[in-house]
Parts: sequence; C-alpha cells; structure tokens
Amino acid sequence: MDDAIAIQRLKNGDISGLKALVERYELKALRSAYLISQDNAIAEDSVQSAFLRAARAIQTFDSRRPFQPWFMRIVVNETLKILNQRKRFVYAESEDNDPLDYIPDESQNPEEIADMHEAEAAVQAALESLSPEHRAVMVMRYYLGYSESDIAQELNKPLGTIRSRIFHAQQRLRGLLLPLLGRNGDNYE
Amino acid sequence: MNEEQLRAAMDAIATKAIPDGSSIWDKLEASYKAESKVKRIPQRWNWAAVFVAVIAATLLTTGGALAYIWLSRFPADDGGQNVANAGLGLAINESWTVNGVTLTMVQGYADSERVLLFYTLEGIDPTRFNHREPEAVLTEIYNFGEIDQYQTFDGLHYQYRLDENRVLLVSSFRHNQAVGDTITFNWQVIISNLGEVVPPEFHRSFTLPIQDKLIIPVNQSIEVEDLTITLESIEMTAASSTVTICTTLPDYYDHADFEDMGLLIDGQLYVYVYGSEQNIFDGRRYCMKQSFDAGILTGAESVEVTASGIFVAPVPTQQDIDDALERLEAEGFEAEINLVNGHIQWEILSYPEGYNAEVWMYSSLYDYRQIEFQHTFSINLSEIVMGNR
Repeated sequence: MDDAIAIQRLKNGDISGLKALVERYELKALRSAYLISQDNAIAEDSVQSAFLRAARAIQTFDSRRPFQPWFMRIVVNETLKILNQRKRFVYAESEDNDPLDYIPDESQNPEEIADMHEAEAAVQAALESLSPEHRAVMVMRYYLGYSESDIAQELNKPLGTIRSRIFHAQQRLRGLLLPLLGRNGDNYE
Repeated sequence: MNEEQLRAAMDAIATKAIPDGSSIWDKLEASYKAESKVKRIPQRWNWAAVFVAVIAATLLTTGGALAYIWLSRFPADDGGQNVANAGLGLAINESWTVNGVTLTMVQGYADSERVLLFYTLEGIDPTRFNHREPEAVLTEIYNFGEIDQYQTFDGLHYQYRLDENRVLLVSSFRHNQAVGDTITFNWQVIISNLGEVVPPEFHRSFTLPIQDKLIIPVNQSIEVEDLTITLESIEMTAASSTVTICTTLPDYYDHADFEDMGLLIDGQLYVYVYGSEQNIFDGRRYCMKQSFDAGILTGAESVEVTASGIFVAPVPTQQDIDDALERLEAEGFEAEINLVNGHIQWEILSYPEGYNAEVWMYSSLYDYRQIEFQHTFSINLSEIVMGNR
C-alpha cells in the first residue's frame, strides 16, 4: 500500500491506513527520536505521540506533499517537547564533557580513524554534549539527510536560525567534524 | 571519516538502541482506538431535527430515509456537518449521463474559506467506490480561471453508499479567493480504472454565492515576560474558522515559534493541531494563522482558542562578546563587536579564505534563552447570525 492510499484510508477513519504508515516509518522515527533524546523510553513515547498527532491532523494534510518530511517534523518536535517537559536531558557546554577527549590523539588525522567503534563512541559523546535543539538539527541534517532549507521549511523556522544551530553544533564538534566537512563554505547553502 | 561515514555512525548508534523488529504498533493501536471512541460530533438536536426533513428534500430526489445514514456521519468535518444539517448550500439538482454513468449535482456551498459539493454517482458498481478499496479512481479538477487551482482525488472527503445503485460523494476544498459576491469555477470529474467501461468524464461550470463570514475582532492579549501575545481575530463561517495570533518581537529577540493551537466552540474541542498552517514573519511581527474545518451557526455562545509557542532571545553580555572574540581569533577572524543598548553590533575586519564569514559570526555570537507560553483565550458571543444569501 503506498502512502497516498494509506493516507486516504486514514482520512476515512480506516485504521489500516495508520498501520501501513506505522510499518513504513516507525523505525526511522524511533531511531531519529532516540538520537535526539538519547533515551529509548522517550523515543517510544514521542513517536507514539507523533503518530497520534499525525492521525488527528491528517484531514488537513495535502497528499500532494511527501509524507515523511511532514511526519518527521512532528517526531522531532514531539521529542523536543517531551524532553523539555521531563527535563531529563543533561548536556554540558563545558570542557568536562568535551568530545575532543574521545579522539585518541588530537594530532592524529581523523581521516585515519579506521576503527568504527571509536568513531561511533566519538559521535555518541559529541551528540550527548549538545542541547536537544542542536541535536535535533544535526539529526535532521546528517541522519535524515535534509538540506538546511528543508529543515527550515519543515520546522517552520527561519533559515538563519537553522544555520546558526547547525554551526553552533558543528563548533562543539569541530574537533571531529571540521576535518571531515572541511573549513570552506562548500557545505553551506 | 567523511559525511557519509558520519551518517553511518549515527545510524549504527541508533540501530543498536532501536534494533530491527522494534515496533510500537500494539500500544499505538490501543491508543488510537481509545481516542476514536471519545471522538465527538456536535449534537445540536434542537435545530438539527427541524432541518433533517428539509435537507432530505433538498439534497436527494429519492430515498429520503437514506439521507439519515450519511447525515449522521461526518468524520472530522464538523463544518461540513453544519452545512448539511442547516441546509446552507445552493440546491442544484442537475444530472448528466456519460457512458452509462449518471452524475447528479445535488448541492453546492461556498464561503470565503471553503467550497463543499454534494453529488451522487449512479451506473457503476458502488462497491468499487468503497473507500476502503478504491478500485475506481475519482479525479476532480477545479479550475478557477485566472487563479489556477487544481484539486485531485484529495478533494474528495467522503463517499457513502446510498443503495445498490448510488454512491454519494462530498467534495471539499479550500479556496481563499473571493470573486465579488460569487465564486465561479470549472469542475471536471474523471472516473478511471473501471476496466471494460469507457471512463466517463464530466465537465461543468458552477457559480456559487459566497456565504457570509463573521469576523470577530478579539484583540485579547497576554504578557509573557517582555512580550505581548495577542489573539487578533477569529474569522468564522458555518464551515470553517481561521484564527490569527501575533506578537511583535523586540530587536534583541531572535525568533518566535508558534506551535499548537486548539479551537473550542461552546466548550467542545473540535480540532487541536500541531504546528501552524502559517507562521507569518513580517519584520519583527510574528503570527500564527490556522484554519479549521469547524464553524458556527446561530446560537453558538462561546469560542475558545488555546495556543502555545516558544520565543527565543539571545542574552548577550560583555563576557559573551569577549568569548566570541576569542573563538573568532582562534579561527583567524578579526572583528569588532560591541554591545549597544542590549544589541550586538559587529563588523568583520578580516577572515580566512574559504569561510562563510557571516555564518561563523552568527554562530559564534549568540546563545539562546527560550521563553514558553501556553494560554486559552475565551470569547463570549452574544448573538451570531450566519447569513445565507
């Protein structure tokens, strides 16, 4: 069942439409929510809430638009909302939790890092060091693959805001990311 | 490690935490069903009972008793229910037959926000229009002349099997352009995927009177720290409501994010949506504008609007500026930054080649403080009269 039919069914109150959308998008949604929240339980709660919100708002959804970006926007915002409500996130904008600590040798060229486990640990620690809002745009940019303008459109925020959050996050991660992405402006739209 | 490897690392982290096979369906299904049970359709029996007989006569040439079946079912479209129950549309009752299929346009309704068309199809197996298995594909195209607006299958909101031979369809779309006192459009219906039957197509031009709109100038405000948030207006027809909430941000605020909005009529929550249909940025003025498929009729006593949002303000201090200058110097920037009346003013004197200088300056300078608000605005309505031209 493709998205258009699933959405139409859901608009008609047919739960099979919702089930089809859940089967197609729940893993991506759960994993995105986990990357933002760093918590399995919060990820499950936010994705469940996101699907319910999407079902409530489905009558106003224009099926000519792709479903995933619209839905992932809800997932991201639900995750941030739950995090803010629960205030369980802990992020350190301090040297005590500097992701640079996790790079074995600062003089080593990160491009020479071959051990994926070390890279994952570095990325994990870097994500943990960010605020949820900065984590969210990083997830949308690098995990979900959206452009900055797409993120701005889906989150309904000015492009400048999205860029500032991405670059603030990159500044925090610069020990890891600058050698990966380059210091030139090529990656900025 | 390149950008792709970074994405792979994030995927590996997420997959370890949420492995393949993870599912929330069981819990979600239970929650969805529980919500559906408490879903309500407004029961205005005091006037609905009066109009049912009138509607049956207006909408259908035969089978008046069958009208009751669909009149009681308007999922998630309380505004459409208002139109049907109060008989606010223009009776048309014209039929056309193409390739053995007869389309009867029963009623048309238009206001400044929505157009609703009620029509029946006869001559094709109604089971093929069962909305659960749309083997027959119905495509509607509306052409407003100079304003090109095409609506496809999604314009069709409801399908009801009236009897062995007929299916009733209700088409709804939004159109915010009023053309004088009437709205004229070319309507085309194409039925396809019928197998051996030659797909019939129907073309017709319609002109519908635009129903009155009630504009309620609310102008209720609340103070959230140093911000004033104002419910500026509510525009309501029988079939639709549009709510506008605004604030004007001082210069030292970065941006506003309006989020949820809910509309209650006579204490009944009709729709609560997540995310604004429109976030309007006009200089320093930020507005959330949301439309709902719910409206009001004569006798409505109160309207409430619940809204929430987040405002983000940078809080610059001299220490922030000193820290920013130090970071910029480390990147090879030379800049002047001053704090003037709470505003940051900066000038880039030089920067290394290859940098997107403005972005680096912006990301280096600002920290963020978030201010959240959530409020319910209440409006008492003395006497609302929805005209019917």
